[in-house]
Amino acid sequence: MDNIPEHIVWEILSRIKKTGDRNAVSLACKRLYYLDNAQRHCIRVGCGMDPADEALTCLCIRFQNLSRVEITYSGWMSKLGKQLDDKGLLILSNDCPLLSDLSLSYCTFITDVGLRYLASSSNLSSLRLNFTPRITGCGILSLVVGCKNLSRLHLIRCLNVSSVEWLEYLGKLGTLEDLSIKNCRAIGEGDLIKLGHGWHKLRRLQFEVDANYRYMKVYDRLSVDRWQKQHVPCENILELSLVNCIISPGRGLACVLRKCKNLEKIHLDMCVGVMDFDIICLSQRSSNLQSVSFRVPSDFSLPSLVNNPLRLTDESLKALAQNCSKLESVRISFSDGEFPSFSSFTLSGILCLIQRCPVRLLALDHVYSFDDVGMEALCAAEYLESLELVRCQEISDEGLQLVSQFPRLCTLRLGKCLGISDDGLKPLVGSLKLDLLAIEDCPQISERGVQGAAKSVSFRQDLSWMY
Amino acid sequence: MVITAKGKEILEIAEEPEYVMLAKVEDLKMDMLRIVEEEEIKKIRLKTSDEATFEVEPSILKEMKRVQSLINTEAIDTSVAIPLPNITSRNLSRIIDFCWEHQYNTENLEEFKGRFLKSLNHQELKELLLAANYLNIKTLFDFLCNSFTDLIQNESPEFIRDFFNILNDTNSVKSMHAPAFQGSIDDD
Repeated sequence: MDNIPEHIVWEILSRIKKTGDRNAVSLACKRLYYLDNAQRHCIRVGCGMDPADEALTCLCIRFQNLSRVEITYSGWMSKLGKQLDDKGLLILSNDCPLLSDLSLSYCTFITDVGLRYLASSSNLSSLRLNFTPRITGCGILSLVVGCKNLSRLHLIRCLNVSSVEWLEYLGKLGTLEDLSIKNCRAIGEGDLIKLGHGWHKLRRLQFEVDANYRYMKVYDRLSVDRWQKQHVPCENILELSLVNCIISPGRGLACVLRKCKNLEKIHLDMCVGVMDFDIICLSQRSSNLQSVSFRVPSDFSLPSLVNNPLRLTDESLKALAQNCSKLESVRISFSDGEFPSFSSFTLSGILCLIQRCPVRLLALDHVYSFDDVGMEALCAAEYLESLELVRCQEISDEGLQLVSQFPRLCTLRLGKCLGISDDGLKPLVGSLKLDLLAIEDCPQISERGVQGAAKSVSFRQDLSWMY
Repeated sequence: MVITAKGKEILEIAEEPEYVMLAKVEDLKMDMLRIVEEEEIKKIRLKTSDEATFEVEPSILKEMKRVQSLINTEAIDTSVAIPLPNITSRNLSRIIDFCWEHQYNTENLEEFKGRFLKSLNHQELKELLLAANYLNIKTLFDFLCNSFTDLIQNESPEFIRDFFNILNDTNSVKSMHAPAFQGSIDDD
């Protein structure tokens, strides 16, 4: 080691990514220890810090170049010692000068005071708060006022963030590119409009409503109406993910859906009220669309909607097939079983996508309309590399046997499929056709049946879902 | 080097009238052809520490940035072998092998790399790394660095000490036993 020049050791060390390996190397000798200290840019700590303040100070002194810090207290119990609190955040803002990316999960002791300390971390560009129940809108406002470079903000289950002045402030600042708000009960769909001109800069938006708080409060409905009047400059969004939202025709987030010109990825999960018209508009505007993922409510979970036109049908898929020539990833899932008579997406819609777009990944969950005929059609899918079938009960061994004829397929995942057995996999055994075969919870497929069916095979069986 | 210089020239002449530009581009093409031709003839000889002489093709030589810069900067008499006092003939033949495969073996390069690595013991690996560093061959240097990290993956500090032949001097540093880490932060 002694005769290897410093810069070569540095090069070797910089290629070690796993924390376990880095720890081992740093304990080998002083020279490696100091080199490692200088190279550590990110750490993840949590329950192991006791007492938290002292441990954090030690870490900040030891690793002078830390820029990414993740503090997570999942699984914490009081006997593990006191959690990090506001003082800890003060230590971070004082002793961690390069801090740019901070993530706090299950830190239940921190309050708005702590966030105010963090406001002096001028390099902070990314903040993620996951279940920090004492934080309110005031705390976030004081942070965004201080951190002028904030480009990513993720709030997950921050139950007490109610006022959204910070959203307005961020809109004026115009630095935010990635906003994610998930299950923050007090932040409604209507609040997002407060971002104003900030929309222009936004690249990625994730908005997830707590399913139990789906139905909006009255004042929220009023603010949603503002969306029609106010211009929402959302042309630059590349990735949009909406979960459990109620989309009213022509109002609220539906406006966004129709206006995104540069969208590459869209994920709509249990969004009630999305209409074919929304998706048709979207497909006509966003020719760059590469990935679509729809999880639609089954018609039974919301009885009032049985005869409602507010749902997606094959018309949406056909529009996508016609207009989006770059579409390469398609995920369709029904939340809760789907019965042929009510089904919104059918085989013909799905096949239309496969035939007209260069689809590399197809994932279907609970799609009963996809059967052996569908599998036969996939024999002509010249781009398909990865296929995922979960709870597709109409597929039988006959359909599965066709997999060996799919021109490009290299990954196959099957889960909770009742109709297929070892026989369906027989043509694959020994053929080296697939790189990966993953079988999960399929009652008729045995561990022996999958052996040799792909270069790499994973098999799991837990049949509790059936009972 | 010459080509990058010419590349710059393209940028500079971009504002001239079109016919001039076209003429210059034609000139440039001829120049480049000439360079390629010249290089095809020019095989450079390298002399290792144990006095062995290797005749090396320009395409391989290009990978050895250090030799390349020697040829470009100093008016070296190419009829005389360039001495490489830090490199043994054994290592140089390995290096040439590697560079050759890296350039021309498109089908089973990974397989070759596996074989290549297997044929080396720790000491040889270290020597080769130093040689790759000395000659400034990026592909080989990266490959060997990655191989080193693979070899010490999931190993204990004791193993790493043995592996690199280092003395344990850690007892004197008290702060080295900092709180445990829970795991790495994986990149997205």
